Amino acid sequence: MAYYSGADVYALWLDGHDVRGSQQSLQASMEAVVDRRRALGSTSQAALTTGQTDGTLEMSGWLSSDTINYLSSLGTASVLLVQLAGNTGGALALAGASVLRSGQELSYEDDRAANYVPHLALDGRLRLANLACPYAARTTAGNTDASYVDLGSSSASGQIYLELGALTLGGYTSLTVTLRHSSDHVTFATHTTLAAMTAIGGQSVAYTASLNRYISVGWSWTGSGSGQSASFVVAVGRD
Amino acid sequence: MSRTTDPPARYRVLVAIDYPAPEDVRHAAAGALERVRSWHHAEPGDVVDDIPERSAAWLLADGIIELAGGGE
Repeated sequence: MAYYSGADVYALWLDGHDVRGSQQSLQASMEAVVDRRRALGSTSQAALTTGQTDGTLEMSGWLSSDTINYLSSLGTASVLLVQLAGNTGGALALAGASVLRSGQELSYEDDRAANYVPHLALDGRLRLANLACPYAARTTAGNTDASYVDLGSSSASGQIYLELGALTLGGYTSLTVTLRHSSDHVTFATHTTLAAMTAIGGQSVAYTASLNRYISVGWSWTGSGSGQSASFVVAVGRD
Repeated sequence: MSRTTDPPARYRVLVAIDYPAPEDVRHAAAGALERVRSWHHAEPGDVVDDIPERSAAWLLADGIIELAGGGE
């Protein structure tokens, strides 16, 4: 049994920007919308799932250069990925495909750093996810097949999240990241090819093709160059 | 020890795959592949005959490869 706290948060990604260093609290709630009905003649309620989900996300911190440079841009939808439990393959994460920066609050007191509270509005679903690969720098094209992640079971649908925190193209025109999967952790096949990236940022894609229980991540470069490097993390949230 | 003289099955790759050299699979433990010295890569359209035997069934079932037949 493992327990987690704020000290286990490895990164708080919003579109490839890690704002963890200026945040002190994060509150998230997720629920399946349930309709409670009592049938005529019945003495107990039935809980009927509607297939809908609700969620809220709140965080607060203090004013710093990264919050000013990034979070203060309002009206922008971001891909959120919070590495809740460290930076290893399979580790727990909190993810949102489209988190709108809808507002902000500033408060000043004379004896402490200014409080900064971004207002975040979910557009879509907030969910728990698992890292398909840890955040790390990668250079030449490759994959993480040899350090695959076992999700325990296959899934029919879900969401893939990519946070690209650093990118040096070195003459190449773009980086392409793929999610890979396997039924036997011997042979791995491409499952989803994400859109090519040319700058740091986030990306999220829904999948509806069955994802096998063993997953890995691949990456490749388009064009030619030298000295290329990309630092990124990929997570998968299963329905 | 040879138990068959049948030629290896040939498969046409429909989705890009990576798989270990057959000798690495044979020497691996029953679970994870502990040491893979070389990985093979195949792109859609490639015809290959060295896909690990244990992988072929699920790759066929998932539509990732198909039987290529002879004479390719």
